[in-house]
Order: sequence, then C-alpha cells, then structure tokens
Amino acid sequence: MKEDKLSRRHFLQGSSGLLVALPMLPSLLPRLARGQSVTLPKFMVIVGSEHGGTGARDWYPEGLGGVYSESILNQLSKRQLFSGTDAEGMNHEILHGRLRDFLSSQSGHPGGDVDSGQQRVSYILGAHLNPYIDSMNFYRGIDIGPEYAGHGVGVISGNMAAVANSATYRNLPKSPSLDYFLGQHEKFYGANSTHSVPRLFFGGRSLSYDLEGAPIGGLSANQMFTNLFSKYDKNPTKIALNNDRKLLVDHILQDYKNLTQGAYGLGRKISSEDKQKVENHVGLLADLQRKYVNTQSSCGDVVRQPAATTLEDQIQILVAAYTCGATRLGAIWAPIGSNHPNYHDSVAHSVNASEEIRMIHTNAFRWQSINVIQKLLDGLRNAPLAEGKSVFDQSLVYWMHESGVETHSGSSVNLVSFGNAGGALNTGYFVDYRNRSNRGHFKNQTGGHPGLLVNQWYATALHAMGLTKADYAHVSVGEQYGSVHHSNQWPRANAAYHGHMNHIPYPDRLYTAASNPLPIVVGE
Amino acid sequence: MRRNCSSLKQRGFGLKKHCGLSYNKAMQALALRRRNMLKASIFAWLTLFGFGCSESNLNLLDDIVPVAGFSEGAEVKFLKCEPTERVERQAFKKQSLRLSRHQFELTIEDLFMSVSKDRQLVDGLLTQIKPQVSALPVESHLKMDFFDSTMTVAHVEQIFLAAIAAADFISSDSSRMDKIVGACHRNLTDLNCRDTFIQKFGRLVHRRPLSLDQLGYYQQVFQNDANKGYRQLLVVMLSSPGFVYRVEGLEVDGYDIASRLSYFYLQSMPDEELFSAAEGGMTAAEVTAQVDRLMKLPVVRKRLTRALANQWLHLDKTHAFDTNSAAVQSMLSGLQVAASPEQRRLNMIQEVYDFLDFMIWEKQAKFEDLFLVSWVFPRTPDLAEIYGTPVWSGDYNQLVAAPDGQRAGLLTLAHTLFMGGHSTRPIMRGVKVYEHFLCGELPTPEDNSIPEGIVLRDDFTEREKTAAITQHPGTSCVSCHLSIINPFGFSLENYGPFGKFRQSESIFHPETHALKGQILTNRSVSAETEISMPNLKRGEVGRVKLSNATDLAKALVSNSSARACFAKNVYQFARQQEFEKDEGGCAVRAVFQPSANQTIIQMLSAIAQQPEFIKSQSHSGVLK
Repeated sequence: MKEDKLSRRHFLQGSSGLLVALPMLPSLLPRLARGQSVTLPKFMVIVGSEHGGTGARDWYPEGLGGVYSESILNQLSKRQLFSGTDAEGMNHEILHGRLRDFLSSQSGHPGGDVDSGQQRVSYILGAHLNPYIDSMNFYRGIDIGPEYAGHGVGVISGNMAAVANSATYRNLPKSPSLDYFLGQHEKFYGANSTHSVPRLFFGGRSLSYDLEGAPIGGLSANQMFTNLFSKYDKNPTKIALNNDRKLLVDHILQDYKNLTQGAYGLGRKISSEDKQKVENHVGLLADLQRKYVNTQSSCGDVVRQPAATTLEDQIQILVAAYTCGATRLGAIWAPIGSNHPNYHDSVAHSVNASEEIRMIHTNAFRWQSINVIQKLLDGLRNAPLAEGKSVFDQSLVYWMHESGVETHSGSSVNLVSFGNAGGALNTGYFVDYRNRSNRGHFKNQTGGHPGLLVNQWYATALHAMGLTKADYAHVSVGEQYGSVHHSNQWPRANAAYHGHMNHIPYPDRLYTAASNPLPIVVGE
Repeated sequence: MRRNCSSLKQRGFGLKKHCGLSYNKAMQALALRRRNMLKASIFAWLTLFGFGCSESNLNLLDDIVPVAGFSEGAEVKFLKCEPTERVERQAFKKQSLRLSRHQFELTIEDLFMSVSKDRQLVDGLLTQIKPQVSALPVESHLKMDFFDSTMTVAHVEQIFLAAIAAADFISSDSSRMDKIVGACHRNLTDLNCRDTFIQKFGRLVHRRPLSLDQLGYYQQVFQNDANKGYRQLLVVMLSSPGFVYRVEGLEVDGYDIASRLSYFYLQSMPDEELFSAAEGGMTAAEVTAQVDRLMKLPVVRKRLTRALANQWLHLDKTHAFDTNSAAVQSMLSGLQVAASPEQRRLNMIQEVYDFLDFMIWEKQAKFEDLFLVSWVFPRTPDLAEIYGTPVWSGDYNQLVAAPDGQRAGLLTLAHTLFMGGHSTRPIMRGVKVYEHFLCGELPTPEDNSIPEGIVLRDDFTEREKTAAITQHPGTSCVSCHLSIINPFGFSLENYGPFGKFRQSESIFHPETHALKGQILTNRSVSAETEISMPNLKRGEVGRVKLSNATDLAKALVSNSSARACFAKNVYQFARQQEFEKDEGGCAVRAVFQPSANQTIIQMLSAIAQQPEFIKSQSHSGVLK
C-alpha cells in the first residue's frame, strides 16, 4: 500500500506503524497571535469514560483513606463560599489542600502492589501520574444537578441534554460540546481561521455535539488522519481524489438546497421542521467538504502507514495535530480497559458482587489512566511548542466519568484535570466543593453532600481557554454554559429512604453562581 | 411519569389528601371508602406503579377512559383518546424520517434489483457498500433504532462514501452499466439516453416522478463531467434528500402514502404496484387493496417479521456469552452438544425469527397465543439440548413441542431467558418482561451499592441473593424491585442461565475462589411469587399468585395492558416514530380493540388503514 507522505521534517516512530512528526511550526504562531509579543496558543483535550462507579477507595486519594474523616479535614484549608442559615441553606464551606500532601503508599490493596511501593495519589491515578502531581487538580463535589441523570455522556463535554436515562435532562435545551463551541468561537481560533477541522474526536461514543446539540460520530485513526492532514497532502492521487469528492459534495449540497427552494415541484413544499433538517444536513455536508480541500500549506512530516488503528496511534495523531496546529481541540471517549464480554452488566453494574468484580472495574480505569491519560500527557509534554515550552504547558486535559464513585450517581462526578493552560489555572490542588453541612442529597451515603453545579466546571474550562462569561452567556437559557435543571425542590418522592434532612441541596445561589469558574482553581 | 394528585381529583376520586402517603397507608385509607372500592383499587395500582417506584409506571396506563367490553362502571387507566385531541395526537410528525441503516441497505438492494433484475450484480454491489453501511451509526440507547432520526456528519459521510462505492462498482464495468443505464450509455452524447436514465432511475430513487427542475439539475450534474456523467449522477442521486430521507410534502399525496406503506411492510422503497397505485392518488380503497396484496408477499413476511422482532425485542442487543466466567465455561463444557458461544447466540436469535414467522403467518396467531404455546423451534442440536427436544426440521408441519408444562411461548424461548452470564439474573429478566411486554418504564437505579448489614452467603441461590440486595427494608431499591422487577424475574427461576428447564440451581464457587468454575452445591429453586396486575375485567388491582412461567404468561395475556403494549409497539414500529407521552391512545386502541379474536396479521393490516396512517399534518396540525 502506498504511503501518504509529506516529507521535510523529522519523525517519531509509532508503535503500530504510524509515524508522526512533532515539531511545532513557528510559522503558525503569528497567525495565532497578533500582539507584539507572541501569545502562545492554547489546547484542550476532553477525556470521557463510561460508567464511573470506581468506588471511593480506589478513586479518591488514598491519603484520605477513601472517605473523609475529621482529622483529615482539619488539615485542609477552608473557605466560606456562602454564609447564612436562611432558606437558602446554610454555610457552604469548601476545602482545599495541596494534592502532593495526599500522596501515600498504602499497602495491602486488593489490586496488589502495582506501583511497586511508590507513593501515589490513588490506586487508579497511580504512581505513573506522579510527574504531573503539581499540574493536576483533583475535584470532589462537582455535581450534575438536583436530579439523578444517569449515563450523562454529554455532561462530560458540556451538553447537559445528552443524558440517556433521564427525561428531565433530555428535555433541557441542547448545547454544543465545549470542543465544538470553542472550535466555532473566533476568540479561540481567530475570526479568519483556516482550520479545516477545528476539532477532533475519537472513540466508540461521541463526546462532541454540534450547535444543535446533535452528536458527531467518533473517528478511526485513519479517518482522523485524513481529516487533519489531507489538506497538507501534496500527493497527486490524493489531490485528485479530494477534488473529485469536493465536486460531488458540491452537487449534493445543491440538491439539498433545491429541495428547500421548491425545485422538487409544486405541491412539494416541506414543513419548517424539514427545512431546518435540510439546513442541518447542508451544514454537515459543508463539514464533510472541508475534508476534501487541499491547500499548499505544510504540516511537517506526517506519514500514515496501513495499520493506523490503535489507541496509541490516535493519541499520536492528536499530539501531532496539536503540534503542527492542525487543530487544538480534542475529545476522546476512552475505551474500556477490560476485555470482559459482558462488561456493562457483569462488571460495571455488578461491582459490589465481589471483590474480584470490583477489581476488574477498578483495573479497567487504571488501564485508562495509564494508556489514555499518561500517554496523552507524555505526548503533549514531549511536544515542543515555542519559547522552551511544550504543548502540555498550554493545555487543559480533563478526565471526567459518567458517574461519581458510585455507579449511576451524578453526585461528585469523578473529575481530574491536568495542565494550567498557560497559567490560567491554579494547579496541584485537591478541592472539595461539597457543602458538608447540607444533608439534602442522594441517599444517606458516606460523604453524600451536594456540591457545586457542573456548569462551573465548564466555565472553568472555557476560562482556561481564554473565554470570559460574556463569550458563553448566550449558549443556553441563563448565563451559565449549558443547561441547568433548575430545581430546589427536594426530596424526590422516595427520598425518605435517603436520610435527607429537609435541606435544599441546590439553593438558588448555586444557580446564580453556575456561570462562574470554580473558586480556588481560578483566581487568587 | 409520575401521576399527580390533582389529575386524580379531577377525575372524581377525591383522593388528594392521600397523596404522598406510603403504599400501605394509602391502601388503609382507601379501604375505608368501600363504596368506591373500584376506584380505590385503581388508585392502589397507580400508587404502586406511580409512587412506590417513583418514576415508573406502565406508559399505557396513562389516562382513565372506559374500555368497551368490561363490566359496567369499570374504568381503566389507559391510553388517552380524547376525540378532540385525536387529530393532532395521532398523525405522523412533521419531520421527515431518515432511513434506518437496514432500510438504507434494503432500499439500495431493491432499487438496483428493480432496474437490473440481476441478483449477482446486486449482491456484488451490496458487498461493495457493506463497510460503509456497517459504519452508519446506530443509536443503541433507544428502545427502537427506528426512533433515532438524528443525522450526524458520520451518517452523511458514510452515505456519501456508500454512494461512491456503489457508483464506482456500476460505472467501472460496461456490462453492469448496460443493465443499469442501457447499452446507450456508451454514447455519451446520447442525451435521450441520459434523460431517460435520469427520469427512470430518479423516479425510483426519489420514490416519485422528478419535477422538471430536478430533471434540469441532474442534467447539469451529468454535463459537468460528461465523461463520467452517469457515475456522478449515481453518487448525487444516492446521496439526495429524496433517497436518504422519507421527505413528505405538507400535502401528502399518493407517493407519500406508498412510501409509508412500503417502509412499514417492505422496510424499503415502494414496489412497482405501489408506484402504480400512487400515480392514481392512493384512495382509501386502494390502500386496503395494497395492504391485502403486500401481506401476501413472501418478502413482506420475511422482512416484516425480522424487522419487528429486531425492533421490538432488540435482538441486535442480545448478550454475548460471558466466556471470562469460569462458571460459564464450566456450564458450556457440561453441555453435550459442542457449539461456539457465538453460534449458540445466533441460533437463539434465529429461533425468535422462526417462532414469530410461524405464529404470525402460519398459525395466524392472536397476540395472546405468543405466550400460550409450548412449541419450540430449535434448528440446531445445541438449542434442542437446551429444550430437551429433537431438532426442528424447519418444516411447519412437523412442529416440536417442549415437554409438558415447561414452556410458555415467547416468554420462555431461550433468547428471552438468556442473559449472558452464569446466573439467571432475575433482575434483568424481570426488567425485560416489564419493559418489552408491559411497556413499563423504570428509573435507572441511583447506585448499585449493597445496603449495609447485608450478608451474602456463597450458597445463596440467585433468587435469595437478589432479594437480599434489593428488597432490604428502608432502601430505595425496594419500591421498584419488591413489587415490580423481582416478581417477574423470580417467576422464571425454573429456567437456568441458558434457558434450560430446571428444578434445582447449581451454585458455583465464587469467581474469586480457588475452586471457581466448580459447583459448590445444588439447591432447589422456586418460581413461586406474587405480582401486582390490574384486573381490568373486575376493575381492580389484584395480587396474582404465580407458580411458574406458565402462570406468568397467563397473567400477561389475561391483562389488557400486555396486549395494548404490543399494539403500541407495533404501531410505533409502523410509524417508525415513538409516541410522545400522551400520544397514540386512539390509534392503538383502534388497532387493538375491535375484536378479542383479532390476529396479529389483522392487526398489522389494520394499522395501515387507520386514517392517521394515511393522512398528514399541515402547519396548523390539522389533518387534511
């Protein structure tokens, strides 16, 4: 098979036959920065994982013993977010401390001594992530909202309406995912961006949603390669192929426009809903067409080999794409780190059946931590940008699960982030945003207190990428990014079982704050 | 959906003061109102399903309307069907539908068969586009794949690439072009050839004659690159909105109705007879005639059965065998007939097709019959071993009956019972029965944590384990599991994990144990349980005691909810659209209610003859 090759720069050898080039093209920088001094571009990667339900023991810092104890809490710094004992609730005090202080080397874990006795944050975030301890943030108390919202894939990336198991959330206004929104925003790429593919995404399930909130399918490594690099491809055969396809898409686009313009005949007027559908289709065709536009630019040496199909290939493509500026936004749906044939039923939803099942689940996340997170971070860190900085130095990578430590719980959804995005974020923290005075939450579980709305995390991510509240206040109803299920009604019908204490879990003040970036991590 | 009290009060129950009470308290209070015991019973049913399991209920029980044929005064919460709302609630939605993946493939098959009459050519073409068709995304979270009409860039791209693959396959071979375009394709200046092809092929692609503007546009496409004009035309047409979507105008005409009929019965484009009828405008009488004709076609029998089975019973989501489990491996090796786990899985799916094919078309069964027969259809020895029967020859004149009392039709087919693992998974079985056969909706559990203080002994039966975890007093699990999920699942405990009838359960050592895969002990199983079902004929909620799956089957078929659920599923399948919460009552009732002896074939025929099926909505939502 003939290689698609663009030669001029040096290569890194991939493990599965994928070769990618890594140097940042300084020529890209002026386009990205128009000031006197060079402003380095920013990058973001969203990593999502199915399920969650990791269990407190294996996810939370081991230095906390898996659950909080007063003695541990006393070691943390406190900050009062809200005060008062009125109907709006009670004092809301958050806690934070240096994550480094939580490193521990606990022995006797059922998973074995997988880190060879080294200190680590937790079993899942093992010693392999220690090099990132000071550029990492560990969050507790980021909540999906006041009602259960199972399998909220879209919640991970900013579309609160993309929730599988809750009609309440599905009926909320849809919003684009953060990567799509940023990709369209002139403040991120500039008003005259020539990015043919402003974002990339891969994995078995889409984390990316367009402006209508419709999911955008994931890509194979080969597809991704084509999307990202074909515009730099000078291979005559490829150019001819692209020209052919571009022409065809032109024709098809016109065919769709004909439908809305009455060319399908008298009496064939379509409804306004269908017109909207056709317009959406035209937009998708335009997206498709961008793939087939060849330019005379170059993006270093990027070589595709026949079998570029693995996760490692995809991560290398992402790193190469970031390095040469082909895109600066990515979303990854992490593959399940287990080959169990009935993972969903027999493992993820049976974690309490036995310790062995629990460890299959835990190790699946640890696998992701090593094979997705660490490799991604290493790739970005080893990718030189400019001025002695790496792509990682300008990046925000965050890893969020569908649930918190208990499967199907949207309370304290599992979330860690890496990178300070060019100094935009304070890092190296463990932050607990829960209001530990408030018992008006899901079941009477250990540590079950309401925290802050996940929209504040979206605001944080957008802030890290250089946007302000004014830039995203129009995305949904309200000023926050994405929808909120605004309800301070509690408890639910059967919450009598949960041991609630008639506290309002999400008083109005939290909705008012939903458009703000998270304290501690931003500001100071 | 949770019922609220005000709506009950509006219906004359006067029960608002009881809202929010527990089930028991509500029952006690209601018991005092003996003069209105009937209504109290129904309220208890609502309480059970609407409050106890806070977000679950039977969707069908959505309003209280009289049901003909039941005793005087009895009222049943059923699908809403207000005459004044009938029009806007039942008609097709205004948005055109996208072809499902399977329909896209079948339509391409029928399109090129219609033109070429060449099976070999079409098979070759289908092979060419298989990768793109397989890559078309299918939304797996929805109840029916049909309900997903989302179009993403991945859909657009795969459709485009499939069109290119098909066009390249045809245009790269002159003999194939002869069959699709005609021998005149060799002369690229033969404009008559071009126009004839555009009009003939375009009519099939768009499922209606082309307008002059369309003809003009496709002529332009051809002329833009005349050397490969036919190839370009094929790509553009196969990607066109008229092909990819079922585009309907505001004024529905005969062609729209022809497509509605064809995508229900054929799962594909209209055949020539439908085209001919469409040209005449498709009167109601013509629709009836076409339905009668279609229902006799072997291709309809095959495609309709398979598509209905796939969509209703989610066959594409059939579990795989958990071969990582030592217990599963042990159980598989304990079977006499060797077969790969995947082949076993496929054989179970095939049996569902065979079962429904026989029941619907040969036996001309009523819905109830699906649950009351003891026939099984094991085409292969591995499945016959599960049933303890001979292999079925495939001949409907030589049916195979399971041993007496062991099987209850669809409810106890191996596919229905199989959950992939070494356990029977009563919860999953119960949910399956509740959702598939009663259209119940359950909230996803908030978490999977085991309540504190629960001890699970290794020698617990699956039933004991399930009850211990989910029926622990004071937990949020109880409301759904105790009354709804578990009883349905427990009634199937006479069938092992692979669907084999059993009197005792082989309990394996835990998978963490050194002796995993080995049997720890054998214990007798019990399928005795008690479920809550509304007795519609007596107008009260009853606790129905069950001894086994046959009892459950009888309870289901003696309750109108199951039949209405089936009708709702079939109607949604026919429309390819999901009813919104309050929609569908009139249509479903009209389809399912005319006669207690109505067969499934009659039901399938009746749907397409509903006024709502063949009419449209205008902007104002009023039928024209």
